[in-house]
Amino acid sequence: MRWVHFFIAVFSLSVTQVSAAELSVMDLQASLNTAWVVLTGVLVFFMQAGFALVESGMARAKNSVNVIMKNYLDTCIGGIVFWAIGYGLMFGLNSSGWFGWSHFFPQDLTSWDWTFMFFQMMFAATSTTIASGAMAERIHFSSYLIGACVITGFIYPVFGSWAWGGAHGGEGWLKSLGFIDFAGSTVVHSIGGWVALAGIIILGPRLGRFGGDGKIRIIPGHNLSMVALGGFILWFGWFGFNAGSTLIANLDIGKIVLNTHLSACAGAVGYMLTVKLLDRPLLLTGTINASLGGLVGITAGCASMDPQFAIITGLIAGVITFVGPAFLASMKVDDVVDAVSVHAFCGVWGTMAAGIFYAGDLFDISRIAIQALGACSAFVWGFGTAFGVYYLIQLFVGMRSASLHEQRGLDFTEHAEIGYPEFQDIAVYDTDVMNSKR
Amino acid sequence: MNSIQRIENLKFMQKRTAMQEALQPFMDTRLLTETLSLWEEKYSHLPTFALQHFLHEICQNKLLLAQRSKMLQALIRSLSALPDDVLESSKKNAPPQKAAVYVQKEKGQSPELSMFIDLVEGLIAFSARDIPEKIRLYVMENLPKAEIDTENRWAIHAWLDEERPLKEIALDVRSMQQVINLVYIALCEYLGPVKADAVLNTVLAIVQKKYPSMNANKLL
Repeated sequence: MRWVHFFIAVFSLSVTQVSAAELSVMDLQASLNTAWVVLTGVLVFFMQAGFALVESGMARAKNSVNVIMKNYLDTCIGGIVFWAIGYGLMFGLNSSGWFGWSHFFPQDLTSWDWTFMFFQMMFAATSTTIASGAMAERIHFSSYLIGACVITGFIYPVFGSWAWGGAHGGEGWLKSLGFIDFAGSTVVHSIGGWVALAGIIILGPRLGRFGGDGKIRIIPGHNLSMVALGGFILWFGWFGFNAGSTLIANLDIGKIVLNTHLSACAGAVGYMLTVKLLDRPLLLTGTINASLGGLVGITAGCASMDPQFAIITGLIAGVITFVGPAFLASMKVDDVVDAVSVHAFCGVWGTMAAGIFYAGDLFDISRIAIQALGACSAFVWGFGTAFGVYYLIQLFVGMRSASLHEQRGLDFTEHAEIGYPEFQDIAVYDTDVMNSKR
Repeated sequence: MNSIQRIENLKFMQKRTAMQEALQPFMDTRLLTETLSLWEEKYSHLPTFALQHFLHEICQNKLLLAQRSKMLQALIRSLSALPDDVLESSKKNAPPQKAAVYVQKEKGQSPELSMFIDLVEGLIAFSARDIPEKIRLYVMENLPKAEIDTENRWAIHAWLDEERPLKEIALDVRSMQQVINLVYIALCEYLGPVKADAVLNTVLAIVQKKYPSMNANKLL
């Protein structure tokens, strides 16, 4: 009998030890996941610096501070708005499939939920800031910030709830159809791009961008080194953007990062081949935008595509970044940084590519149709609501800066601060007036 | 005559010859002599963009009026061929009192108004071909949108239409800024924003040099 007791005791002890070991592995995995998602969230935050450099470098010197200020403050205000309202709309209990309806002003969440919210907040900031470059050099700063609040607190999270919603129960209608948008070609980039398109249509082109005779005039940016550095930073941050979207530190990360990189490379190559074929100059700005287009394109399908298809996705995105700006310019739409082409057009392509090149089930028509439905609904929602919002802002607050402000530059008129005081043109600012403003 | 005076005199003669060559195809000898005398007396010491004033004055003759833009082009071509120091010397050549009198007599009492007139005319005259006329028309068409009182608006309209000079009006800085901004918008429209910024900077620098004790930036 004693032997029986002894064996029972040994068995119980071994079971307890196994459970404890299992628990510690789970804890370790949870900690790893948290560390991974926070780290990649930080990388996505660093993309804000990339956007600031690209957009500011592509603007004229007299507006350089204004562009950076827009990037900086939309992150700050957008972060708070997303915590208060956006997160609940996007990831709260989504019983209708159209928007979340819980977790507003969240205060009592699990450790993982805080991590997830931080990561998603960085995504919201990315989507919001896309519009700033497109509308550069002619928008009222306060009107821009009002628009940024609406994007972060309403336009972006509502669409996000359709494709990604249901973290706290329920499911978005697009998600339930099987819509694939792993890291946000549509949710983040197309939405940002369509919002930008609505903004620039309401704003109109910069003074003299299009001549009365239909001539398209190039307005060069003031610092292409900044543009190049910004491009590298965005590329760097994009590894976090895509690989962090796994939300777990697992073995898939390597392929996701590889696909991301290949597509960015192919974007630049696609652009280069296009301009060489058409005997046009190979521009630095065009090359960087083509890489960014490749990155946007692969964002939807980076986890579900084989590398050779990531290259094809990037190549075609590179061509789109060449054709898109020319098309918009022919329509007299003035996009300072070609954000609509890079984010909206390449986002649509990337969403389609995720369906077309789905690993193990290529060219599945029903999947492609769902992808097309997702891309179209992003346009209808993103462009439609943003157009309405900007129209109302135009009506009640005023969107467009005064022409006198455009003449002097928004750095001086909006911020009483000059990007390059020692080198700036004398027509830009009057030191006495600047001193009196501050 | 010392060596500096000799050099200045030589530069003045070069400039006069350039004027003569440019205007010769458009007028007979008698009219040409009178025109050159007028230039020597009133315009030789002024910056190049004062050519618009000069042409306005000589084109009171209706036969010449039709040729105005061609004459302007010929003058700009001819003067552009001269070395820069010759053009710059014109200001040094003129006795300062003479310039001051001219400003006082022709443009009204306020030095700000004189600076404004120089700035606007400089901006308009800077471009070639028919663009100055287009800029004038654009500004005149858009003047009603500016918040300028009616009397002053009509005075500015008449001045831009080259009916009468702008003088003896009380134009505040805000109104001046609006007119200059209209000119800038027209420059953007017809030359493009990059050239418009460059023209604005160049002309502002010239005007600032002419009025060293004032801040030309205030008018922008």
